[in-house]
Amino acid sequence: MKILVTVKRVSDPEAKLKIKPDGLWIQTEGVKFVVNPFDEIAVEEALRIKEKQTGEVVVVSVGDKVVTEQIRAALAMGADRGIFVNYAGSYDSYDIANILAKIVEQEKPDIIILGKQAVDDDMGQAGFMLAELLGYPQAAFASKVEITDDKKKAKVTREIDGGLEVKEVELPCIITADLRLNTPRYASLPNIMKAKQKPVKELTVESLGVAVKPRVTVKKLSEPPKRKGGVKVESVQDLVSKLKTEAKVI
Amino acid sequence: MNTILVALAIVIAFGYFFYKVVTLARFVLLGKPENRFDQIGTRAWRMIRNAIFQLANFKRPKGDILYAGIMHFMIFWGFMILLLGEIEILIGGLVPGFSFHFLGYPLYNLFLFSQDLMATAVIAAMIMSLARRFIEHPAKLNYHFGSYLILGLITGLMLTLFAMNVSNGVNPEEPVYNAANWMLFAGSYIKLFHVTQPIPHVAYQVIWWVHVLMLLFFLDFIPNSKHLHILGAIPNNFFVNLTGKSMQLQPINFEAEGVETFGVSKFEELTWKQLLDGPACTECGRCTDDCPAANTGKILSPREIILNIKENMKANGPKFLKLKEGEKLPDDQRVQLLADEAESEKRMAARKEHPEEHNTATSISPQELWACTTCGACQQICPVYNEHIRDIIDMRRYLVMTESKMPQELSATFRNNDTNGNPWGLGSDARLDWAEGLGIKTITEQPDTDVLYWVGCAGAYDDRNKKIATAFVKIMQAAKVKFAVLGTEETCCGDWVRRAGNEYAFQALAKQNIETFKKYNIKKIVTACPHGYYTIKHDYPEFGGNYEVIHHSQLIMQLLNEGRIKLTKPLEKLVTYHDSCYLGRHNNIYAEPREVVAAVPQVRMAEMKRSYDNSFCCGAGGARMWLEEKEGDRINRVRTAEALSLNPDVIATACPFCMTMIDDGVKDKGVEDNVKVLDIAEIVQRAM
Repeated sequence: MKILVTVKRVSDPEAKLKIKPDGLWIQTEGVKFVVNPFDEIAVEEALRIKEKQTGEVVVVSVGDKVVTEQIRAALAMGADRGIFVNYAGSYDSYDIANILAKIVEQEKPDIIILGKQAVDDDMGQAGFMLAELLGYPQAAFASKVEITDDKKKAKVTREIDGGLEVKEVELPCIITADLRLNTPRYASLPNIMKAKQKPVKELTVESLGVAVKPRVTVKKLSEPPKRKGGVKVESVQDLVSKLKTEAKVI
Repeated sequence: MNTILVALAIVIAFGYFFYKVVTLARFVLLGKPENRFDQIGTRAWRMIRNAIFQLANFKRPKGDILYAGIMHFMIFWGFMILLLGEIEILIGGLVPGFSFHFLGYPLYNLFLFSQDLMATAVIAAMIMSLARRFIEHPAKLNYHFGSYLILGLITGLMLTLFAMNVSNGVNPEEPVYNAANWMLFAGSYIKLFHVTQPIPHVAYQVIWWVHVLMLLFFLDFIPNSKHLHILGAIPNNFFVNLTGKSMQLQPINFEAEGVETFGVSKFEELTWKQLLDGPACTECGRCTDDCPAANTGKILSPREIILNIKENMKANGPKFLKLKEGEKLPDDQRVQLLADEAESEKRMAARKEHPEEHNTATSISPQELWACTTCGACQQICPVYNEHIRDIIDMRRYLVMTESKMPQELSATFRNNDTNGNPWGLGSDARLDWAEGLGIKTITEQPDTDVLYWVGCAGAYDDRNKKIATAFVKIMQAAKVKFAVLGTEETCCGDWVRRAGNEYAFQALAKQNIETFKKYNIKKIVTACPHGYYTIKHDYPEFGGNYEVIHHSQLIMQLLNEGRIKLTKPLEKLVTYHDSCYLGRHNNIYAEPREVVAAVPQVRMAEMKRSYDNSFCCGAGGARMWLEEKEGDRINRVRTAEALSLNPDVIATACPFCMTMIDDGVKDKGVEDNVKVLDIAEIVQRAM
């Protein structure tokens, strides 16, 4: 069983971010970058499937040279090889879906697992678009994945509002990983060392025949408004009047 | 004929004994090298003091330990002196008529006196021992057959000896040395019961043979029983850890070529000294009796860690001795030291039903290893100075680094720490946010500082502990201490990372911090965290970082003594101080935190039942802070209940982890309105 997993390089969710003077992106100096947490969950799930079924886990990432750090991190967790699509410009979810679709055509994986969204821009569209482009069945927001005994289908539990939904999808399929799917492993030291030797194939968007043309562009980023301190009210009347006049909720 | 039989019995018994002992010694030497041959003089003195003078048995001379210590003293010295008599008896079997008579008066008389006295003392000790086992019945003891066999054998040996002494005392054929008068007890027996005739020759021969056969059987039983400690404990006292550092961990060089596994998963990956701990173990159970994990229903028993390593060594050792030069033992032919999941589950269940079977197991389960808080209670009380914690950390290292098998909450905490340099996983750039408005300087703002304040992750990120950091800063500012902080250049000290077995991440942190200290030429460091204190003081020197490290209790004490701060506001409250394991047991700092609190006007203080070196852990050490506690009672609740039994107004702590655990414990009990948990710095600052 061959499983393709995507990893995106994102700023550490805990980092204090500052916006660049042009207002179009964040300042990256001094900011730590990590594997998108949902993608880590995707890698973990791929490894667990592989450990049960045998097979190969291939990780793919798109970006400039630095994203190989995140590919190596996934290899250190236990993935077998990497694909690095070298592209330094800007892109949107549809571009990524197009690039991934080409890689799927080359690699022909049985399962493609993506994080349900990247925690930097929170677009959360690449998985759906990829499924559409490939015409594959998809199961998004997975909280549990089981491969049927005949290895032809995946039974996926999804977290939906107010409950769980269980879907069966035929392979090959697209799965996107939700938070409670698993807890990613901590890379063992021998695997960290082995990861340095594992093959990472470098591709370009041109070689894949994809013309990157973002349809979505960032116009402006702004910081969230600073939270103001609360006030203590003297009496119930006071509270009611404030709710009426200031908060305007009643 | 008799002589030949005696000679045969002696040769067989001693032959077997030496064969077993040499074999065991060869097993121990399969371990990795470790230098415990420095400071020979100190080592020799430690051995004499602790083993020969038996002081190791009186580490906490109270209750059962005092009772057992006296008992053991009588048996130990009884046997040392009776050994002379046994030599006389054995030679007498080979050379008819042999005796130490030739020593003449008064030496031989003194000899008779000592033998009689000691035989009686040992009998008394046997009675004490049986009373302890049957009446007191301490839970910490092992109640297996071997223990009773030993007691029976010793009693038998002494009774036969006594019978022979009585007979000899009235035997006209024995040269008259006025024996009956010199033998206090046998002589009294003779007088009391008007014994006039010696035991008939044949009966005497039978008694003699019973005595000698019991003696020889005892000799051969030693290497096969807990009495192996007779051979192991004395050298163990010689090879004791003299570094002044309670956890002397195996060094790991990650740059070494060709190393594929890290940590310990096989007995021979332990050092010879770690392997010697097993034969030295007396199975007295004091370690487990004091262990916070074992006391709250966890599967861990520090004694069993030591014993199971020994059993594993004995199970695998013979296979190793059969290997040819350069040959390796295939993995599937060895008895595994670390139990797999199925085996662990089985053991967890079996342990609950038959706790006594635990100590003959040949493997250790991960659940046992993860239950340890590294509080050091086991090592503190161990009469043979075994070092339990480092065995546990060595095996955790294997699980974490080689196998990446650990509780999942721990892997999440490691990731947090790797990215942001603190276990909470909060942004590394937020490390100094707690100090906003306090007017403190970073080291770049004040490079010529007298002391660096190491805030630690808890002081910087944990809301409750931020208040402690603030109180301590206010004390230093009031006393005009010239201090600075590293600010965002500070990162995790690596304490819990190292205790959890992640040596790779620890070394990276240690090296990074040492570089930072070097950059700012730091010589003296003060911290409110005993874990940072231990790590910077004792672990960093391994990587070339040597600093004067002081705990905030010590600095505050000094400021009080120098009159730089004055405590004027009274605190009419009852305060009980909870000892932090890393401050107390691991660093011997007991007085300062107490004196600092006692310096507050009108404060009253009370000690918990378990305090000072017998203090009971809060449950957060050894990375337990980041692990869920699912099995048994929660350690912090047990400790909090102990504190609350004194009806205190305040429980004082001097460690951020203890603060969190005891504070949680107080909230759990719902008494947070009446009982405050305060750090000593907060108590002092409020009294200023």
